[in-house]
Formats: sequence, C-alpha cells, structure tokens
Amino acid sequence: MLVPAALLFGGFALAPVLIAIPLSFTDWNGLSQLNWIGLDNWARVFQDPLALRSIQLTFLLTALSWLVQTPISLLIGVYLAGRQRHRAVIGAIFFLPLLLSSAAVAITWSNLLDPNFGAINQTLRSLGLVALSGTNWLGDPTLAFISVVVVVSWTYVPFHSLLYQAGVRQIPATIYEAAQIDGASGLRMFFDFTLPLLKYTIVTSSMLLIVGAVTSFDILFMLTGGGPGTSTRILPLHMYVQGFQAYQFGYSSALAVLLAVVGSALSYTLVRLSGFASMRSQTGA
Amino acid sequence: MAAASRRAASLSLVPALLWLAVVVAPLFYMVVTSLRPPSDYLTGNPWWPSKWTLDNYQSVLSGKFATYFLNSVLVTLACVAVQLPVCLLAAYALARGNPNTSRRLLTVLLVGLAIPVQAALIPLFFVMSRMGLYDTLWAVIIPVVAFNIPITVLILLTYLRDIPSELYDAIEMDGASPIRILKDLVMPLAAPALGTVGIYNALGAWNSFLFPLILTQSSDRRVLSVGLFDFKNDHAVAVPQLLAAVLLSTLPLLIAYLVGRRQLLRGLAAVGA
Amino acid sequence: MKLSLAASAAILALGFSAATAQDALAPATLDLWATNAGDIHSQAIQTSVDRFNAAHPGVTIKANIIPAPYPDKVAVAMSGGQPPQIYAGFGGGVLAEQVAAGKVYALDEALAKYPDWFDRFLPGVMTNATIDGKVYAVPMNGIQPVILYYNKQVFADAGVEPPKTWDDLLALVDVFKAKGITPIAVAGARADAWTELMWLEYLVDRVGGTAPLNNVIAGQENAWSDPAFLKAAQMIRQLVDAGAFGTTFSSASYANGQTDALMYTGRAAMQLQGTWDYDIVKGAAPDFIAAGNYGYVAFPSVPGGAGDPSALQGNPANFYSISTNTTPEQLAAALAYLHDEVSSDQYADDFIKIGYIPAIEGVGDKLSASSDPELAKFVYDLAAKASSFQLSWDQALKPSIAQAMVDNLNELFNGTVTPEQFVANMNNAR
Repeated sequence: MLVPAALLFGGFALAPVLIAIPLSFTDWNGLSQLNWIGLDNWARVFQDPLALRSIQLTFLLTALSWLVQTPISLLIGVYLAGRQRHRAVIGAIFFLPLLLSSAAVAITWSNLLDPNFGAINQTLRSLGLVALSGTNWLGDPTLAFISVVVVVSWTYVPFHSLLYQAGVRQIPATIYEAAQIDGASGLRMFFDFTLPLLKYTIVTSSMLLIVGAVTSFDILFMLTGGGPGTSTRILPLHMYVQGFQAYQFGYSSALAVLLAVVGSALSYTLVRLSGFASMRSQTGA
Repeated sequence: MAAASRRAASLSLVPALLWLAVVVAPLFYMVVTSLRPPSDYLTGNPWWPSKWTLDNYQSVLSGKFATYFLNSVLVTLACVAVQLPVCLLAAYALARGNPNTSRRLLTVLLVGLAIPVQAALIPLFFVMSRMGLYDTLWAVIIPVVAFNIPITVLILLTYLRDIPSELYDAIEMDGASPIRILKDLVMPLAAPALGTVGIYNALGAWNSFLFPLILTQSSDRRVLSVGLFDFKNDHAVAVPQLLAAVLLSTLPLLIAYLVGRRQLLRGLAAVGA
Repeated sequence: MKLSLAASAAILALGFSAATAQDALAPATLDLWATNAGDIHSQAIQTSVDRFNAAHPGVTIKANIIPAPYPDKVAVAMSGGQPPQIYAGFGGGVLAEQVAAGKVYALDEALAKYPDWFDRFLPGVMTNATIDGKVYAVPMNGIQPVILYYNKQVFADAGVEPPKTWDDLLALVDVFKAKGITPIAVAGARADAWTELMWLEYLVDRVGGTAPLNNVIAGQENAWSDPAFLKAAQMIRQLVDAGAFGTTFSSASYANGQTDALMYTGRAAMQLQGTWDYDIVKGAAPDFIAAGNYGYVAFPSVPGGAGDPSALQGNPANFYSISTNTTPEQLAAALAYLHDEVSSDQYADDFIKIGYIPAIEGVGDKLSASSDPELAKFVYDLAAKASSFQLSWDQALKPSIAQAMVDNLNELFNGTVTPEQFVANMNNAR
C-alpha cells in the first residue's frame, strides 16, 4: 500500500537530495568528469561571505515573513469566520491572489514597483508626494528586501487566512457561550479563548510559512534575481546561481545540503514541539 | 455564538477593509493595463487607460500560447491522476497500520515537507536525463507529484483518522479484503478530502515553475508558467501584452474558482485541520 | 552508435563526392538552438533552416529560439547529456570549457571535405572560435560591437554634440542633469547587470589596453591588481556619483525594454549597448527610428590612457557549434548545414538585409543592401579599423569568475562595494 508513495517520494524527492551529499564533495562543473575534492566545498561554505550572507538573509526573510503574515492572517481569518453574507463576498476577493502563479505575481509587482513607469510611483507623484515618487523600490538594497517581504506576504496571506478561518470555525460555540456568560469582552475573548484554541492552526500555519520562506525561490528569482547586487540573494537563490550560472555544481550541492538540513531541522523542531505527529484525532473520534 | 463572534470579528473589520484595498489594487492594475495599448502605458494615467484595446490579448493568443496551455493542462491532469491513488493508499496504510511505525513514518513525512526543491534540482535533472525523460512532460509530472506527496498524505491522513475505528472494525469483521474496504468504506467517506487534495495538487501543478524551467527546454514542451517567464524576458514585449498573458494563463483557474470556490477553499483550509 | 549498412554507404558516398549543396544526405532529425535576438533575427534563422530542409528531403533541422537566460539552458542541456546537435554560442571561455569537456565537435575534422571553409571569415572574429589551434564554431549572424547610442532630438534640444572624449562625457552629464534628463540609461537590475559590464570593459581597455584582461584570462595570480581595473572602477564611481545614471538605475531592466523605453521617450540621453539594440528599438518604437533619432558613436577616448581608442568590445559574432551528441547521419547533416547554408553568400545576404554585418571578408561592398545601411557602414568601418575586438567579458571568462565579476560590478555601481574592494574580491574569485 505504501509502496507506490514510498517509491515516488523516495526515488524522486528524497534520493535526489541525498545524492546532493556526495556531489558536494566534488568539483563537478556540469560538463566534465567529477573529481573528488574532499571537504573543500564545505570549507568554502563557511568562508564564503556570500554564502554566510545568504544564510543570514534567509533567516531574516523567514522571521519578517512570519511577523508580517501571521498577525494579518489571524485577523483576517477571524474576520472571515463570521458568518455574515458580505464576509463571504469579501472572502472571495481576498483569495484571488492564491490563483496567480509566481510568475504572474512577480511580473505584476515588478511593474507596479518600477520607479519610472510603475503605478505606485506615478500615483505618489500625482498625490503631490514628489520626493517619494522617485523611490527605487527594487533597486535600493534595504527597500528591495522590504518589497520582497511585502510581495511574498501579499501572495501568501490569503492561504494562511484560510487556515485561520477554518480554525476559528472549528471552535465549538459552547466555549463562546460559556465565556459570554462569564462576562468576557471582545478583546479578552480573543486573547483568552480564541487564540489558545487556535494552537494547532498556528503551528500548522507557522510551519508551512517558515518552510515556505526558507525555500522560497520563484518569486524572488523573477522579482529581483537576488539583487540589487546580492542583497536579496537568499540561500536557495545563491544555490541556483552557483550551480546553473557559475557552473559549480559541487559547491552548489553543498549549499543545497545545508538548505535541506536547515529546513528539515526547523520542521522537525516544530513537529516535536507541537505533538503534531501524534496519531490522536483532533476531534476525539 | 453569533453575538460573540460578531464582536470578535468586528475588531478585525478595519484591517480587513485595508487588506481588501491591498489585494484589489494590483489585480485591478493587471486588468486595466492589459487592456491598453503599449504607448498609453508609457504615458497615461496608470490606473485608467485613455485608450482601450483587445490587441494585447490577440497577439498573445496568436503565439504559442495554445501549446503552453495544452501542456499545462496535460501536466495538471496527469499529476492529479497519479497523486490521488498513490497517496490514498499510503494514507490508508498509515491510518490503519501499526501506530508506532505510522508515527515514525509520519514524522519522516512531515520533515519531508521541508525538503527544498532546489536541493534536489541538480540530481533530479541528472536522473531525468539518464532515464531519457529530460525535456518531456514526465520530467515535470514526476517531481511535482513526488514533492507533493507529504502534504497530500498528510491531508488525507488527517481526514482518514477521523473516521471512527468502529466503522473499520465493523467492515473488517465482515471479512472484507483491503480492496473492498478501500472501495466501499474509505473512498466514499474520503471523497471530500480527495476533492480537496485534488484541487490543491492541481493548483500546484498548474503554477509549477522551477521544475519546468530546468527540466524541459523546447517550446513544444513549455508550460504556461515558464512561457510567461520567457515572455517577460523577450525584448519586444510590452508590459500590457505581458499582463494580458498573465491574465490569460490564470483564466482557467479563475473560472474553476468561480464555479467551485467553496470546495477549493474548504480543501485548502483542510490543510490546517 | 551502430551504423546501418545503408547509412554507412551514404556517409562513404558523401566522403567521395564533391561538396555540392545538393548532396544526398541520409535522413536525420536535428535540433538547433539559437538565442532570441528579436523576431526579425529569429525569422531569418527559420528561413535558412526551411531552405535547407527543403533542399534535403529526409533531413529535418528543427530551429528552437531559446529565450533568456540562454547560457544557463545550454549548461543544463550539456550536463544532462542531451544537448542539441547544433547550438549557438559566443565563443570564448564558455566554448573553451565545453571543448575541454569534450562536448564540441572540432570543425577542423571536416576540412578534408570542405577545404578553405574558414578562409572566408574575418580572422579577428575566428580567434574567438579557435581553441588550441582548432576551430570549433562558425559565425552565424554578424559583428556586434558595443557602441554609444544617443537620442538625437534630446541632444539637439540641449545644443550639444555626442562625446568624443571622457571629459566631453562628464560635461554632458552635467548638461543633461540640469535639464532633468537621465544622462545615461543603464540596466542595473541584477538579471541585466551585463549592461553595466560594457562600461567596465571599455574603461579598462581605454585606460590599460588589452593586457589587463588577457592576464586575467591567462589565469595570472592577482591579475586584477593591474591599476587599470582600479582606475576604471573609480571612473565608474565618478559617473555614478555625478548622477550620470540617474537615481533609479539599480532596478532598471533591459530584458523587458525599460532602458530602451527611457531612450525613445526622451527621458534618457545616452545608452551604451550592442548593435543588436537597434533592431530591438525598431520593433518597440518604429517611429523613433524612422525619424532618425537613434544616433550612435564609438565609445569615447580617454586622454592619457594606454589603450588604443579604436579598440572594440562586444560580440564579434554569434557562432554555431556542433555538439558531440550526434549520430553520424546527424553529424553529416549538421556539417552540411553549417557549410552549405550558414557559410553561403545567400545566408550572408539575408542577414545583411536585416541589418547585420556578417563576419566575412569583403562584406563592406554589400552593405548598401542592408536594412540600415548607415548603421551597417558605421559598424563595418569601426570593425575594419579596430586594433582589437574583445569578446564580452561574461563570455570570455571562465563562468565562475564571470559570475563573481558581474556580482561585484553590480555592487560597485550600487555603492555597496568600493573600487578597492572590487579589485580585492576579484583577486579572490575562483
């Protein structure tokens, strides 16, 4: 029963990643023979300032993404959980970004953010904010990073809002009624009741968010290409560049292994902390 | 419940409306820009064209768009067709198997969620070319399926383990074979979950980018997501044309969304259950 | 690859017969990859391929126009073991790596069948396709040096002439800045940072001649410490600090026509680009070209520099190579295509008509047939008088060094790396 899934996953997901391990000890340039070079690539990882920087940037992106997306998704999820009709309509619009491919998102936003012809700067100009209207959203190292966080958040908040919406709807009505009888106000209700009951949802959302941020590639690749310079070149991008542009597949594999280890470690920690892997059904069946 | 949830929810009204504006603005921009001629894009008001035209759509459709579209459809259908049976079997085995083994395998699966596709990219294309699959649609289908196995099994498993064990026991006491159990008990009960993972996988397959980018080459094998990216890098393409292409490539999903929105959203929400 | 009797016979027959365009070739299907240099260029390639296929029933060459990033995709295809039979390239360091890995067919082997094949091409151009004395590629379009374009209308309005020297250029920067026009358009977005490279290439050449780069290519230790590199980097900073490139260049792109748009909407005055840009602007803004507003001059000289002011940087040509991923039938067909079709006068004429200057001897006389005779003649004269014609550095250098160079250059332009750091980083690049 497990065989087909195991074969496919093991063969085409797990195995390739495992192959990256021996590859990381070679100097393969993609064209000629593989030459064993021992730990050279690994030493390089810890000495290469770009590699270390890309790791820092990856963590920064992950942290910022979580800090931005989680509160917003929570609030929107709670809002949409209410059963009024108009919320459903608004919800329908909220989830539209989910349909767009990363290419679509990157293209649209890079044009919005274009300093010369983009809508955002043109709007600022017409609002009289001339000083701001020349802002180089994707060209200034700091601003570019922030823009990336904004675009990524715009893309994924809908998804996480969905999770929170479902999570809130699962909270039994009885709990709210009991709290009301106790005289709890809106804000207190939220922090004392809603939030703790959303624990599983928060963990799931956070896990997917963090893993997604650590491995994000598509949008950054098309939006900034890792630039300006290398200021948005997170680890997955650095890995791609070293492999497919600098033809250093051995070194690139070392970075890949590092990425896999970091991602898996984060995922595993979250899993253990939350008891997600327990086979207990959540609804108590 | 109504009053309390209303109060809690009304706290979030202002952020929700703000977010609505944030969501709608880029989408609106996409639509109006795709309907204006390139010259107008460079000079006119970014939010409202002074000239309207359908030329952009026409020129996109006259290119290789149809081929890319067809390839995307094939890839998506194949991915879903392979993924559902494979993962249903696996989820069933995990739900009904030895709890300790299952828990360990589940942990492996959850950790597998974190495997970055880029890490596997180079070895994958090595494997694909040795297997003679480089630059075929299978080079896209197989990895997409493989990497979505963890989350699909997860969703199905969460659903399956909520089926009361009494039902399983009852049917097993009847002496049913595993196949019968699957057919008569699991599949009907899991139908909603199957629907949701089907949709989740379809969405992922349709928008998949990195695998087609690296593992396919010729324009006959190109899918829409890569076609879009190539379009963006083509010197002669103007922004309005580009955005028309973007919208056209999203159109099928948009239609599916309008038709089956509830199912789609329920499915995606099930990820968190 | 086992040969069938019929195929062997066909190959032998080919070997003994005189080389005519109508040689019967064994049936074969081949893939040909070319870069995307605009629709007009792609059309010319397709026409050539169609012509060849029609003349050789049973042989089908499929032309694939590969969108950017072209070098990445060739790398992937070669590593995967399934490269196309015929593929375009720029020669230089990338070709050298492919040759060293045994992936390219040495065209010299066909000289027995096609004597004097390479004599028709300009020797300066062929040096880029010659590795260790053997030829591995033939030119397939035309010479494309990098020149300084300018908006004639903008210049006329400001009452100035295009720059002849470095000091002229600096003066122009002030003039245009005062008028609120970006003096020079450059695409500083990371994906298009090769456009910034052109500035480094010319400045180093003007200041230090060809020796600095040749030392880098030869793998000399600390070759980047040559003072020319530091000086060029400082000159770039001088331009940036003077506001020559404007304030938003670091996110401007070339690939989707942004810098060109700045030029033809009159918001920028000059752009350093390859001759391929002319056709691209023609496609995007035909009226601008028709009005004769897209002017061009050679890169200014730098007084006191050791380099020859006639030296050119750019693409001596795009070349076609044959990969080693061929059956004997495919190889014969590929050779026939490259010799009979790509190296024919008809092919050269077709490319002249669309504005290219094929890298063949004596082509100067034919240029009146060009779609842009003025540009063609200008480029031809430049190339004929050039003391040297250096291949774009991102193709000439080993890929991993080229990658580090573009990274650092992008950062230099953005001010996140100083000229001294640039030199130090490049000395450390492997």
